[in-house]
Amino acid sequence: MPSSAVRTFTDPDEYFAGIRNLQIEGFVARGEFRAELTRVDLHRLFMCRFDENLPRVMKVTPSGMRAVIVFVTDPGGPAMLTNGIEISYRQIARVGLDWEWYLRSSAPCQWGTMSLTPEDLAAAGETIIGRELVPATFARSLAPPARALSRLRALHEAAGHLAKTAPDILAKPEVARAIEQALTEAMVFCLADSRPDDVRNVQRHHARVMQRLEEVLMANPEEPLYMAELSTQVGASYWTLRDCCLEYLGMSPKRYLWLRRMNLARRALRNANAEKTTVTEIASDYGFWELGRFSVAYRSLFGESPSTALRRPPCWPKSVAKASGWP
Amino acid sequence: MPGGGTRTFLEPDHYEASLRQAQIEAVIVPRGRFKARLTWAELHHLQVLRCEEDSSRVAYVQLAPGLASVTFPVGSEALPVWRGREIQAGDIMFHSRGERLHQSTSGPFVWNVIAMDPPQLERYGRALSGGPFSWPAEGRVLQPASRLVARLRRLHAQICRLAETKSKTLSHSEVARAMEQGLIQALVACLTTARARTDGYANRHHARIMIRFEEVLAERLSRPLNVPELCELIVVSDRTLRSSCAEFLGMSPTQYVLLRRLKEVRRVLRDADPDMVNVREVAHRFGFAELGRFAGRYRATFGETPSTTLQRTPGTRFTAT
Repeated sequence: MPSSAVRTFTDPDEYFAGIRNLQIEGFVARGEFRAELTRVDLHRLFMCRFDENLPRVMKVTPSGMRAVIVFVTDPGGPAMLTNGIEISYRQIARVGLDWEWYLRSSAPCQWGTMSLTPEDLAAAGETIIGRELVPATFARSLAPPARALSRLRALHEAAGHLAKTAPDILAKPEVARAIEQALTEAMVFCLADSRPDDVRNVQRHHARVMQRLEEVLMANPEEPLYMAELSTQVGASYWTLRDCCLEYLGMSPKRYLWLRRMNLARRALRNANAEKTTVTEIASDYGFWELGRFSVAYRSLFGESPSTALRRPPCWPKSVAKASGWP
Repeated sequence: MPGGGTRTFLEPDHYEASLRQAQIEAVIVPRGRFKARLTWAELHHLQVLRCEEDSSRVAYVQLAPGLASVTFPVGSEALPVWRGREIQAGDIMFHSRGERLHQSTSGPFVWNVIAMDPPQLERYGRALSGGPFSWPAEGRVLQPASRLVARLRRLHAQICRLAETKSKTLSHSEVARAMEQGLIQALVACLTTARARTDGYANRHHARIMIRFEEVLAERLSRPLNVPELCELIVVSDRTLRSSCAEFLGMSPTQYVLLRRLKEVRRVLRDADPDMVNVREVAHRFGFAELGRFAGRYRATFGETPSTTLQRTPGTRFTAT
C-alpha cells in the first residue's frame, strides 16, 4: 500500500529516530532545531525529503536491505559531505549497502533520498538499459548527466509536493505506480551513465578507521573515552584519527570524545535522582573536574544548566533512551 | 587508588626522604638556608611531582629504575645545569632507566617530574605516534615545539593545583583517568616529535667521571679526601676532574666533598640525643680535626652553629601543610 507522511520536529533525537529504515544517530549544532521530514513510500521505491535549519552530523547505519542514493534538493543550498566527500548540486552520493556512512552539513540543508532493494534495482536496470545495476559497497559520489539528474530532482520534488498537498491522491495505487515508474527510470539513468569518482586507498583506509572507531565506542557505550586510549584501541595514530574525524565529522577526535562525554553526562543527569547525587559527582564520573567550566559548557551546548537537568524528573522520549553514547 | 598532596620541608633530608617515596634518590647539598615544597599526584599509571626549591643547591639524583621518567624545569631566571649542560626553559629531559645525574641551580628553582610505567608509555607512544617508540638507552634532552611544551606544562600544573587544593577530587578514579589521559597524549606528542640535543663526547665522558666520583664519595664520606687521592680512586687526571666539577657542580671537587661531609655531620647531629653526643666527637668522627674551623664552615653553610642543630628537637625542623 502506498503511503506518505509529513512531520516536523524540534527535538533532534526524535528527528533522528523518526527517519525510517535507517538507524541514525546524530549531533546538531547549537540553537533551536527545526526539521521537516517528508516520507513517501510507493510500492517498491521509498523516498524521503529533509529540510533542516541547523548544521548537523549524523551517522547512518544502513539496514543492508536497500540501495540508497542521497542528493541535495535545494539549488542554492550548501554541498553535503558524505564520509567527508563533498556532494555538490551536480552530484549524487551512492551509499554503501552495509557500510556505515556519515552525513554532514555545514549550514541549513535540504536533501533527499531514494531507495530500492538491490534486486529491484538490478531488475530495473535490466529492463530499462539492458544491464544489471549493482549496488555500491562503499559510499562514493557520482556525477550523473545533467538532464537525468534534473529530471530526477523534478520528479522527486513533485512527489514531495503531492505528499504535502494531496496525500490521498498519492495513496491511489495507480498514481503511485506511475510516479514510481518515472522515479525508478530517472534513478536508473542517473546511476547508469555516471562515472563514479575513483575511491582512493586513503579513503578506504579512513573508512575502515571510522568503522573501527565506532566499534570501540559501541563496545563501551557508557564509559567515557579519551584520546590516548582511543588511539591504542582503534590502532590508529593521533594524526590518522584526526584526519578521519575532521573528514567525516568535521571536528577533531578530541572534540568528538568531549561531546560524547558531555552527552553521557547529560544522560546521567537526566536519569539521576536529585536527592541522591549532585552535579559535581556526575560531572566527576565523566571526567570533568572543573565544575564551573563544565556548567558553562553544558549550558551552551544543551541550553539549560546541569542542575536544572538534574532536578527535572527523569521523563524523556524513548528515542533518547535508545540512543547510544554517540553524541 | 589515585591521590595527591603537598608538603613543605625545611630540612633537605626530609625532602630527600619524600622524594625517595616517589622512587627518586637524591642527595641535596643546599647553598644557604633550605626550604622546599613537594607536590605529588599519583594517578593510575603515572605519577606527577612538582619540586619547588627556594635556595640554590647541587643535587645528585637517581631516577626510579622501574619507571620511565621525564623531567623539566619551570622557567626561572638563572638556567639550571643538568648533567653538565644548561637546560633551556622549553627543554624536557627523557631519562634512561634509573639514570643518575647532577643538577645544579643558582637560585630559586622549580622542576617537574612525570614518571610512568614503561610498558604503558611505550604502548601509548606507539599507538599515538603510529611509529616506533622506546625508552632511550641514554638520557636525552629534548626540545619540543613550544606549543606542545606549553600544553604539557599546563596539564601538569592543573594536576598539581588539584593535588594542592582539592586532593579529594583528584582521588576520583574517573577524574584521575581524564587527567592522566590528557597528560599522556601531551607527553607522547612532546617525546615523539621533539628534536634531541646532542651532547658531545666530552660531555658524556665527564658525566661518567661524575658518576664515578659519587661512587667513590659514597664509600669515603667519613674521611677527608684530597684531590690527588680522589683522582687516583676515580682514575682521572686532576685537570679533568676539576673541569668536570666546575661544569656539573659549579664548584671545585674539594668544596663539594666538604659540603657532602658537612651534610653528613648535620644529619648525625640532628638525629642525635644532645645528652649522649657532643659536637666535637661527631666532627672528629667525620675527620674534622679542628673544631673552630669546622664550626665556622658549618655555620657558613647551614646558617646555624652545630650545637644549635644538636640541641633542637627533631620535630621543629619539619613543617607539614
